[in-house]
Amino acid sequence: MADEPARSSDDIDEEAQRLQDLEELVKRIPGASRVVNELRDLRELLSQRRAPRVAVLGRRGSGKSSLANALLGAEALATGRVEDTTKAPAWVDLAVRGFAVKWLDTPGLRAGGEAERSDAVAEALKACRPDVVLVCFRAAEWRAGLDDDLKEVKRVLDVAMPVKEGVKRPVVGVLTRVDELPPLAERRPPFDAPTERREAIAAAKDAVAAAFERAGMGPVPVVPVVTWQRFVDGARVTDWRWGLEALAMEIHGLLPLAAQMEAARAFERARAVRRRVAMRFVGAATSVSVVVGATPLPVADLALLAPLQTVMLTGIVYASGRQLGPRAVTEWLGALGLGVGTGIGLREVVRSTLKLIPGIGASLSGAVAASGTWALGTAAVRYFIDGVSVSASKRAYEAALRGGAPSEALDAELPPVGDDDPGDDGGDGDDDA
Amino acid sequence: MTTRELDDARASLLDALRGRADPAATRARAMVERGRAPRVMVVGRRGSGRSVLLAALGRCVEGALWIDPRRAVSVVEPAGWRGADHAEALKDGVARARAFAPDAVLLAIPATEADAGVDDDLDDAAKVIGAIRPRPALVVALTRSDEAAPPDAATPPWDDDTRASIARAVATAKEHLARKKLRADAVVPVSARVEVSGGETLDLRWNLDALRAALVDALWRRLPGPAARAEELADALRRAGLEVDLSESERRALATPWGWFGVAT
Repeated sequence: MADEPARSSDDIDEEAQRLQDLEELVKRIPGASRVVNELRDLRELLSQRRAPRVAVLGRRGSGKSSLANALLGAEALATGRVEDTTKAPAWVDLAVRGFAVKWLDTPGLRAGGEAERSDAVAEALKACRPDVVLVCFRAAEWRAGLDDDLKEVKRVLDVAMPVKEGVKRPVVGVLTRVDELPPLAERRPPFDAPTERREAIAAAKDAVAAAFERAGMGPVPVVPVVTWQRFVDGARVTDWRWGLEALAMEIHGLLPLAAQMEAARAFERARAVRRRVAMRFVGAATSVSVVVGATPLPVADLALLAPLQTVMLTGIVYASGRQLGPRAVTEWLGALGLGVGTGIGLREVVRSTLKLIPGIGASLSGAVAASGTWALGTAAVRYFIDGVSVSASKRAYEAALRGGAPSEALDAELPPVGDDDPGDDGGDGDDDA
Repeated sequence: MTTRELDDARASLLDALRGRADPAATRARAMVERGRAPRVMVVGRRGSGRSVLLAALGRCVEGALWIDPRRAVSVVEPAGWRGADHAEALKDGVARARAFAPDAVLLAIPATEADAGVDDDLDDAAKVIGAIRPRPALVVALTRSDEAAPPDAATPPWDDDTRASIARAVATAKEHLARKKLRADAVVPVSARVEVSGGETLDLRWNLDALRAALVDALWRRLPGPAARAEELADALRRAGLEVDLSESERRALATPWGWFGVAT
C-alpha cells in the first residue's frame, strides 16, 4: 500500500477523547460494565501512549546491545564481541523509523571492578523503573556461571526493584547466540532445524529456567534467540535474526497498557504483537456492538457504533506502525464495497463510509451490529497488519459477515482468508525487503 | 626405545624393587621414579572446551596424552566448575590435584568470556594450585577463539578485527591474572573444534602448535636439575643387585627426570 503524507497523531488523540464520550454513553446501558472496562483499556492504550522501558542485564558478551538492535531491526547501539562496548549504565532513547524505545544498556555482569558497576546499575534502575527486565545468557555458556550471574542479578534487582506484594517482577530470560550451539557446520537460520541444536537449545533453556528457580526468581519465561545482523555503511547485508517475534510477544505481554502501542510499532519482527494489539480493538468494539445492538436505547446506533468502529479502525492502522494517510484507508474501504469518501482526516473518511456497513443506519439487532463490526475489524487486521491483498481482505470481510461475530469476541481468533494470503510466510516478511 | 617400551622397562624395574627397604633399592627406586612422564591437570568451567582442547592437542588415551609422537604427558581432567554442582566439583578438583600432584595446570577459559566471571575461574584455579606441592606451572588456554569472529565468517584464518578482539582477550585475561596475583607461564588463545557433518568438515583449529610449545616449555623449565646421569642409574641398579641390559641411550632416558618427555625413539 502506498505511504502518504504522514498522518499526525492528532487523529489518535481525538479518538481517545471520543472513547471517553463513548464510555459515558455505554455506562447508561444496563449490564455493560464489562465492556466499559474494555473501552477504558482502549483509551489507555491510545491516550497514555509512551515508549516502553526495557532494561537488559547479562554477562559481557551475552549480546545485550545486539539484542536492542535485533528487536528494532536497526544499528541503534554499538556492539562488540569481546571488548566492553557499554562502559556505564545509562538510559538511552532508541529512535528508529520514528518509533522510540527507552533502553537501559548495562556493562557486563561480573566483569572487572564489578561492585561499583552493579551499584551504578541499581541506581539507574531506581531512577527509572523499567517495564521489563531482560536477563541475557549466552547459550554456549549454559553449563557454567548461571548461578553466579543470577546471584548478581537478584542482588541488583532486590535493591532497585523490590517486589511488591502479589506483583511478580517483570523478568524475561533471553538465551542469546544459540547459533553457537552445535552443529556448527549447519549455522544458518532457522536455527532449530537440526535436531541436535533443537535439543541443545531445549537443554540450555531448561538449565536457565532451573537456575532462575534456584535463585528464588522463578518461574521466568526463557526465549532462545539469534540477534546477528551485519550492517555495512548503515545498510543491513546479513540478517540471521531468529526467535525475535517470540521474544517480542513475551516482552509485550509484560508491558503496561500505556507502553503496549508504542512497543507494537517499534519492534520490527513483531507482527504477532501488532496483531494482538489490533485484535484488542476488534474484540472490544465487537463486544460493545453486541451490547449496543441489543439495547432499545434510541442513542444506540449511529451515536455509538460509528464512532466505535472509527476508533477500532484508527487503532488497527496505528498499531500497524505504518505511516498511512487517510487515502489508504479510503481506498481499502472502497475496495470492500463500502464506498469512497473524501475527507481531511482519517476519522472523517471512516465515518463517511461506515454508514454502508450492515447494522448501521438501519434498524439494529445485536447480532447484525456485532457481525458488521467484527467483519470490518478482522478484515482490517488482515489488510493493515498481515499485509494480505485487498481482495483477500475482502474475502475475509465477507466470510466474517456470513459467519457472524463469535460469542466471545475478545479472545477470538481471526477467521481464515482466501488463497492468495501472503500472511502465511512465517509472519516476518513485512519489514524485511 | 619407544615411550611405551620405556614405560614397560620402568614398570619392570619398579616391580623388581617392590617391597625392598634397603638403602640401595630405595636410591634406585627414587631415580627410576623421577624419570616419569610429566603430569598435567586440565581445569576450567563447564563448557570451557577442556575435552575438545585435549582431543585437538594430541592423541588422548586413558589418562595419557601424546602431544607429539615422542612426547607424552599424563593428564587428568576433573569435573568442570561453575555448574549447579559447583561446590562438589571444586572439592573433587582440589582432592585430585593433591593426589595427582601435577607438574602443570592447564586452565581453559573461553576467549570471549575473558572479562565475564573470569575472577571466579581464577579463584578456583588458585585453590587447586594451592593444594599442589611443589607449585606447578600454570598455562592458560583461551579456548573457543573462533567465537570472537563474526558468526558468518567463523573459520580461520581470522580477519584483522577478529585478531584484534583475540589480542584484547589475551590482554584482559592477563590483567585479571595480575589482579589475582597468579603467575601464568603463558596465555595462549586457541581454537580447537573440528566437526564432521554430512560429509563436510568444519575445521576451526587454530594456534594449537603455540599452545603445545608453551606447555612443553613450561614443563621443561620445571625440570628439577641437570639432565641424565645414566651411569649413576646403572650404578644404583647394580648396587641394588639388578642386572639390567640397557643401552646407554635407554639408561639416559630412564634416568632423566621426565624421561618420557622428548625421549628419542
